Amino acid sequence: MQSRAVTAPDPLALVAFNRAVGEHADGLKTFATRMLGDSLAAEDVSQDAFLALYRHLEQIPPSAFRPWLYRVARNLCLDQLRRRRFKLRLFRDIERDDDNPLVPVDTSGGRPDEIAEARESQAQIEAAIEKIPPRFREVFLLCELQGLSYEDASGILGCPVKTISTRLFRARQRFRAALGDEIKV
Amino acid sequence: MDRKRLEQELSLHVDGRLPSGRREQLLDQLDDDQGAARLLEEMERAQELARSLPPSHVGSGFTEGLWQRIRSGEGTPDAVFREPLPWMVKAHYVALGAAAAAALLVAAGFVVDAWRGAPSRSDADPGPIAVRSDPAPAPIGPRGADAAVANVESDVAGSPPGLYPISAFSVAQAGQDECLLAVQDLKSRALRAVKRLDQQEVREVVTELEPVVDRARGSTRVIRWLQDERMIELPSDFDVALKLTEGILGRIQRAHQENDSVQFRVAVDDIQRLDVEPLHRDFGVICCRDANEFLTRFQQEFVRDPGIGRTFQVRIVTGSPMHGPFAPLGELLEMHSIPRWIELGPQGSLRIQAMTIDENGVRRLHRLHADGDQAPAKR
Repeated sequence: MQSRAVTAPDPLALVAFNRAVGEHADGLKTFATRMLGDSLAAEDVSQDAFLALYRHLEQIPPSAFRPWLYRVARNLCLDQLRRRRFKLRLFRDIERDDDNPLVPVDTSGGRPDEIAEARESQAQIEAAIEKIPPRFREVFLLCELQGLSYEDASGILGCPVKTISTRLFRARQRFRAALGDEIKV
Repeated sequence: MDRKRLEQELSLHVDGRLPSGRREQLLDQLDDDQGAARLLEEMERAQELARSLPPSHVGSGFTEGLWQRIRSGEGTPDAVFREPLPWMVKAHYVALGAAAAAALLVAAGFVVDAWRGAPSRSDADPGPIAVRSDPAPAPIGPRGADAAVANVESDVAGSPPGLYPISAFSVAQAGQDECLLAVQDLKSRALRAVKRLDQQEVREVVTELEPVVDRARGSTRVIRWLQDERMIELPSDFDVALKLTEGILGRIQRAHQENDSVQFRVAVDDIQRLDVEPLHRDFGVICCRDANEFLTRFQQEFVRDPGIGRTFQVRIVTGSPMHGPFAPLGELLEMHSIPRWIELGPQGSLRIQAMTIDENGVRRLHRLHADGDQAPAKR
């Protein structure tokens, strides 16, 4: 990682940057959490993405902040996954034991049985997402969960819009298959 | 309409992406076909469930931490621009990166040769050779050709006794040799791998073959690129053998993606039956370009994806004098480190060495193929 001198960006760009932090930090963290399965690492990814954005503020128009941030977050996530792949293989069982639901269920005001049911359902959905192969999962997370357009996802993932629609279709197929009876009508 | 097509159209429909004409037809079908209507309901239910997941929220110290890092002058994390590519996609680009990096060393090799007054390396040097170097591999040529020269000086114990100018033909030959070696390697590894399918998952088994598949894919890609650019002409039997090889590599990729043992077994069967003989052929050179134009086109391919060169690069040391500006080469040198080399000797005596640099900075030269200065049996 390179260190560099601090230079103040254009005030308008700074306003746009601050707004972007407010608007996209949670979304980026959500995306990274579901890519990495680790909310602490996801928060770092999110912060790294904003740091990178700040360093390139002059080159990126505010309208492109969102896809740019997701592209950067995706690179960071895949880089982490690649580095962790071996370790994860070795320690998979131990990590599984430590697994908690990625995001705590809102327990305010619910009955214990309802809370337990909600937790179980959430864990099932998380597990179903985890079963989607990564290259389909990233499209699923961007389009289905983050609500990005096919065009934005195409820019983020660097592939044609047609590929996005095909991958999304496949991701949805896998997701439904993994959910099984949960969605049977 | 078959089910797959129906699902695909429903997927577009739920996103409002189906063209209006098709949408009307689909809506008609949904009215008439209970199965289709149920499928749509399932899709919508799945979508609803996925969207019901609560979002993550960043911690309360997030913004403050971010500003602390900004104020401290912390730079962009290195991995930000490291475009991760699926391994088979990466393999497609590897060869292009390799070729471009090869171009860098054309210049460097020439200068070294001129400096050295042609003292030659012993052809009997053993491999692998471990050479302890700096803890972190120095980027090759951050200051342009001079630094590249210094690296060549220190990393290669002498230039090849005969040097050969870079051209479509010489690069195609390097690709051909790489392809042959990789296919032969893959043949034996795949046969051993398939025997482990009882104990191991297909994906694990195929993952172990990744490096050699990458290598084969990279070399086929270089040859195809040269062909697509109409720089070389492939003999028809070579073309057939190359297509078969590409098909096998594709099947292995699908076996990996789909964790499908049947595909993998078929691929192994095919590769065992693959006749590599046609892969020993000389290419017809369609178009003799000058070295600068050739290098420029490599570079253009190369810079399309800056992620290419990080995993694999090739150096071709040659005595061909390079005219014209070194600037584009210098830029490439700055951008990438060089973990792997190929050295081309004189025509007909292709001498390939792979250089790996591990994370401790230990460099190893692996001799893959050594013919001394004798022409290999090429038909």
